[in-house]
Amino acid sequence: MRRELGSILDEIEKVISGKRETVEKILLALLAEGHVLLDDVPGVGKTTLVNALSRALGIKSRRIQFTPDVLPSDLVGFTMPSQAGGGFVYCPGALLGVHLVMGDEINRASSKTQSALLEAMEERQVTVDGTTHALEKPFIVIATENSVGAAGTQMLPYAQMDRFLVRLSLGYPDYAAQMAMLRERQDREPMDSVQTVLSRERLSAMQQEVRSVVSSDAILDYITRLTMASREHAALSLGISPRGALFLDRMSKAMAYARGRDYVVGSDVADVFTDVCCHRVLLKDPDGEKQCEDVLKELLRTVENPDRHRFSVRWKK
Amino acid sequence: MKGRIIGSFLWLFTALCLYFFENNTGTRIVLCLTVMLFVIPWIRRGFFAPRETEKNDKKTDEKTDAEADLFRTETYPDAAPGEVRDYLPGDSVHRIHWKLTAKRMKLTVREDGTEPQDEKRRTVRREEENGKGRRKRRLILFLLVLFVLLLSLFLLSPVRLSAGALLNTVFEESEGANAYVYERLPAGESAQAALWILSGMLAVLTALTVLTGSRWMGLGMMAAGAALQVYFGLSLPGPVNVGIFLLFALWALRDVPRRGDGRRLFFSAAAALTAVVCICLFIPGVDGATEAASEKVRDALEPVWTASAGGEDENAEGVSETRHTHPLAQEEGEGEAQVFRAYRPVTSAQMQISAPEWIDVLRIFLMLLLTCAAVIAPFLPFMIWNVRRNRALSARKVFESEDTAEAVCAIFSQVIAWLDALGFGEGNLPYRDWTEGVAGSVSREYAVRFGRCAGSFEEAAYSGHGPEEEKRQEALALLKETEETLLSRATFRQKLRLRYGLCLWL
Repeated sequence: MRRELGSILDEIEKVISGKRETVEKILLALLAEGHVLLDDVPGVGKTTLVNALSRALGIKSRRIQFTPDVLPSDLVGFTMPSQAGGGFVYCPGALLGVHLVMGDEINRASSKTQSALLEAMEERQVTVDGTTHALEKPFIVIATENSVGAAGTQMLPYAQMDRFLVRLSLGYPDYAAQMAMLRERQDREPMDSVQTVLSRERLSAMQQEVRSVVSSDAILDYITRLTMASREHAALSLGISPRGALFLDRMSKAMAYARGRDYVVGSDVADVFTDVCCHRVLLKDPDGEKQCEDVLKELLRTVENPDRHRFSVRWKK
Repeated sequence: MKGRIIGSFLWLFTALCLYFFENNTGTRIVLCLTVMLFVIPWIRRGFFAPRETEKNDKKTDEKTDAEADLFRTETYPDAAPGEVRDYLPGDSVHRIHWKLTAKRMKLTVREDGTEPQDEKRRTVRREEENGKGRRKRRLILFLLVLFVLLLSLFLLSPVRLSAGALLNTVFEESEGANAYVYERLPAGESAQAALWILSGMLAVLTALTVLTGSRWMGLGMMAAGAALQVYFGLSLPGPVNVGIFLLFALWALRDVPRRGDGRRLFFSAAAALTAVVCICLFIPGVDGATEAASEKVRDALEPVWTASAGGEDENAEGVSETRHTHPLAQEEGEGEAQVFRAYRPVTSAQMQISAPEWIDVLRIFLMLLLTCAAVIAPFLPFMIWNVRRNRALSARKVFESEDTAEAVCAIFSQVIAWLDALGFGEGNLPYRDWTEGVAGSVSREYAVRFGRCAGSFEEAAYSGHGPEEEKRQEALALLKETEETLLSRATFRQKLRLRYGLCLWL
């Protein structure tokens, strides 16, 4: 792993221990300029993670607690008559002026509010009364979805979940991690010890470098074969969309970059495949034995690896 | 669907067996009912599962909603809930959009959210397609039930007698055209009822084949049509046979299988070849060779004549005679000269089975082809091996290519081929992840060198720039070590395969 990324992870491990792999994937998603959906139970440290991340990366963050009465205008802003007289003035919403937004319990918001957030995520700009306002760069949303106590919530439809790059889950810490967490918080707040190890400009530069990582035809073919196989799999009623294929490519590039390479290999794609695609597919039998992780792992086993496939088809560089 | 088809044919087979081999009606009915207890639940599982059907419908609806939602947001990502228009007298004041009004400086109303018309049409079309699927399933169910009902009519005595009359008519035709003699069945006055029922069953089977798209059913019907014509020694008119079998050949070849789907390709090719053979056989009518073959089979299955009729006493009364043409009869020419046969009397006119001369030309041509194939066959494996060996040798020239990336990839692919050939490969894992398995199979030192070369391979294959020259030399050294190490461990059979099968050991 690159030294810079390793130091960021070390800083975050001061507040969230035992979840290095998940935090690494969140970091990769940031590098790939994607948004993250955390599907977790309450109290596992999602907000703490976001705060630590914003400190370590030196970016501004804001937490939005979604409730059923949050309006789209609360997010994107609104225009109101100017008190000075004549004309209207734009009052920015919660999405403006920050780089990292944590949308807590997004499934509690109304569909309209969810749509406003997701539209801003996609476009990285908001339009209010015909006037477009660009969001900050970089702009990342880490949304959380609380599946426990889902009564009265508007679960994100699959079409909207497709817009998130990855869906991850922190989960409960193990015994050792929880003991460490309790000990550390006896007399101090670990968040105070998190240092800024990266600047916003450097983060933008790293995102550029990730974009310039090479995905050869063999890798693109592998991604295409995986997505086509998902659309024809007997256990899936909805396969991976072309957007999913694009996101898979981006995330693979981020993984290759993190491993110190400027080119993507088959194992980069395989390592991120489940995280990127699990929330994009629909099972025919959601209550059956096979879950989407099992189906996606089966796809990885059956679809020929690009290392092997390369010699059955001659590739041009 | 497979279960339903198999269940139907099982039912048909059992009914036919009962008809031909069981004479007591009561026993027949009891046996039919017993079979139905097993067959009908099998069919029932495929059709009469309302909960599952409802669940599927519900899932279809959910899928429709999810797809509709996906469609809506994909097609109209920035869609407002409703359209905006000027205020008209009569509109509710509560619907006035004050922000837009302030901006436009005239009263503006936002419509209630309605589905865009295009999406409504698409949703309706999707629902229509789902409905079509349900209608198709119901139609198949109806046809299957109809088929079973038609079949069960043969349990009725009048229908059985009518079928007997029909079969007796066929026997008469067959005897007139061939050298067969049949035992007549108990028959009624008219064969019409059985003819109608059989025609109905044939029509239902054809409709089921088309609706289900089952290649097996199509092939089965084609094989049954050919077998019946050969068995009875009667054939439909040439153009009719050509039409029927050509249709089946096209049916088998429809939706030409994708590359790599070997099983379906084999099935389609076999079915098409069978259809072509049937066309060749049945254009001129049932051929002597096929009829003689079917006669032998029938004699083995149905020993109509007793063993003493095997020619021991040619002059005994009632003893049948051989089928071979007596030279004396040939010299006397055609006509009503008696030909002596072992089992049945036959006239030379009956021996004249229509076989035009061009069939002989075709046979000679096929025999020539077979002879050439028989002469070349012993040398063919060596010829093939030689071609492959030369190809492998020329492929190794890439190892010296100026393009180091291509060279490293080619060298490493040879290493992988050696490991796969001796069973040390790790399947579909990336080559970088093979090191642990290779360490266990070969040696740890070898695994370390393998891991380094796997990294060079990745750089060569995916990076867009070639690795350094020393990485090529490293890969060549690994290949040499692989060949020496694995060859020393290979068994005699594996060595043969390496040299003559895979052309790796040159």
